[in-house]
Amino acid sequence: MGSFLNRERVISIVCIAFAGWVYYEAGKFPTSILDTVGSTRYPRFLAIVIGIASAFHFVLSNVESKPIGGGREYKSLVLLAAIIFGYLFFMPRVGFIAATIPFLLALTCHFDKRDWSEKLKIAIPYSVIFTIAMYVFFGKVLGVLLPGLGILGG
Amino acid sequence: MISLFLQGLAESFMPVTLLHITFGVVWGIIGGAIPGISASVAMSLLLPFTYSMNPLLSLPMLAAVYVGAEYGGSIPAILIKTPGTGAAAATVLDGYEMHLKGQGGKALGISLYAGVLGGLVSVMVLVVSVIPLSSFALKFGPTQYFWLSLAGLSIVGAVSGNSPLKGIISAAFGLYLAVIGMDSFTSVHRFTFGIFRLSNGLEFIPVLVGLFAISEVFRQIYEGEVYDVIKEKVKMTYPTLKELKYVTPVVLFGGVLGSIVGALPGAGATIASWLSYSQAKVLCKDTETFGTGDMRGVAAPESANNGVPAGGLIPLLALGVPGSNSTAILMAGFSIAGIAVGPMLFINQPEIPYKIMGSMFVAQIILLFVGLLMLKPAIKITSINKVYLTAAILMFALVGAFSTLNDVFASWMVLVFGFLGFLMKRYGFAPAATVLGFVLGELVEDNMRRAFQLSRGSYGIFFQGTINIALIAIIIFGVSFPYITSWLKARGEDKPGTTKTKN
Repeated sequence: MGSFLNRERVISIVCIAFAGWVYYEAGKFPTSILDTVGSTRYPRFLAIVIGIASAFHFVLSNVESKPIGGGREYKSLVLLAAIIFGYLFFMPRVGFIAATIPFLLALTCHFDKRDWSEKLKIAIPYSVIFTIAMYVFFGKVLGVLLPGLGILGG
Repeated sequence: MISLFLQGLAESFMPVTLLHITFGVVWGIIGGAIPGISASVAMSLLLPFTYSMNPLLSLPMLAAVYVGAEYGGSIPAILIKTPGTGAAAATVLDGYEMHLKGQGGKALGISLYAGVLGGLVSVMVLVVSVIPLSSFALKFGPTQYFWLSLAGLSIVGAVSGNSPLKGIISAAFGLYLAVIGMDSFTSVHRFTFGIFRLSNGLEFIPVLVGLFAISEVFRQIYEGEVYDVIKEKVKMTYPTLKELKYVTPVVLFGGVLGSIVGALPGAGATIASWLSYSQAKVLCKDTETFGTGDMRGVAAPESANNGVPAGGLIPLLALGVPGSNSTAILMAGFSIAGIAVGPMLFINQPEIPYKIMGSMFVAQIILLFVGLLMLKPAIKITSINKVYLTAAILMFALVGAFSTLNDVFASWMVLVFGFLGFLMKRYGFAPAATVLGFVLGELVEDNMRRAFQLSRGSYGIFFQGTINIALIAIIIFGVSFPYITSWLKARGEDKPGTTKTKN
């Protein structure tokens, strides 16, 4: 990316666009005779702060952006998102225990890079024992509301 | 004041409270000992489970997590050269060197002693200073609260993220998040996107857990850190009485310094520990051994960073304004319990702030015993396969959020804010400033609107009075401070005869 439209300037443009959107949307709020200030002024004030700070950032970011350090495990991130989506979809339907065991198993099996036989020896007891321990500790000892047992009948 | 503190102390020694404080300290040590899990992450993970708890138990527990985590961070710093929290980075310098010399156990013992004594000193500073400050805060009106909140936010914003401007944008974004929902003055729905569940605004827990805990998990997974496995063996030798006596002056100094720095908005434990380390180097004799395994080099940063939690409570309890992300979470804990922090708390419900102060004191004592008992298990924590920890954190965060509303919508929100926090970290923004803005949002807007109502829409009211002017000056100084220091640094480097050094 060239030094004019570098990463930092793209970020500034996104922030300015966000500030513009907040400013515009805030203008749509109805006014009330009961409140002399109205619902609009404060969000517009915030939009102006974000907009001005972003504009300054745009102006000051006139050098080539340094690459961001660290690895780039896109696949792992997408897979993690998919596993969480699945967990959140199934948890209210099948209950905490029935959803959490496969959730932990899927996570540990994917991210543990050892041989299958070796990792399953830890992953299976970990998923089962940890889930039940958490259910008992939070659900029964602390009285926290956890998703019911669902299809396991709770 | 002293009698109320003693009463709070006595209540903190009640078995049920002791149990909660002990749990908090243990949780904090574990959290702090895991690299990447800071005090704020450990606290935010526990926050959802305080929903249905008695605030006189949940708040001391959260405060104890803060105390435990600041100590826990030193364990991986000393043993594997990886600070568990940012504040423990200064401990690496001499702590790891001591470990290389076969004195890892001794370094951990010094760290524990310094942490406990530094923490106790800072609780004393808190008890002495909180009442005069809260009495002064009673003079504050809406404009003063408006500027005070903005002062805290702007300073935190300016020193967070990879640029002051991004920090300020992050803080303003946090204030914006607090706007979402029904306007309490006019009942107008603002930025709810037609989602009925957003009518009451964003809940604290999904935002906090997402921005702190889940974003860190996403970052570690994306950057491949989750695969790191460290195996380390350490020989346990404890410091002698003579050695403890030797480091005591440094520890007492660090404790006071930690409380002062902790009370300043945006400064926090990381700055306190580095400042204490550098000051110890200046004030002590025979400092050429610093950096080569000098136990004073462990004691100085550890006492200061353990002094920060109690120091951070000074503005939170006296003014109702948190100065750091961990105290912002504590403030969220107060809000969840329906308690408004600030000077009026000392008039209406004095038992609560004094119980918290008493609990902080007791937490330090418990830290001494639990810390000793947990030295060996905590060493093992640093070598646990991170995959299993990551999976557990995710589960905790998602289920914890669910339990607050008994609705999976809260867990989805955790996911949304986790991803947002990950992107913010990746591109140099400051999720901590966003959280602080979110927590302070209502206070800022309400006071701004009250001031406008008092002045019938005139801006002049914001610039009247000495306190307002002083607070505006603090904001200007806070925002421009990073620019002034970098300008001075650049000027120093440009001077002829000055050689450029790389850090």
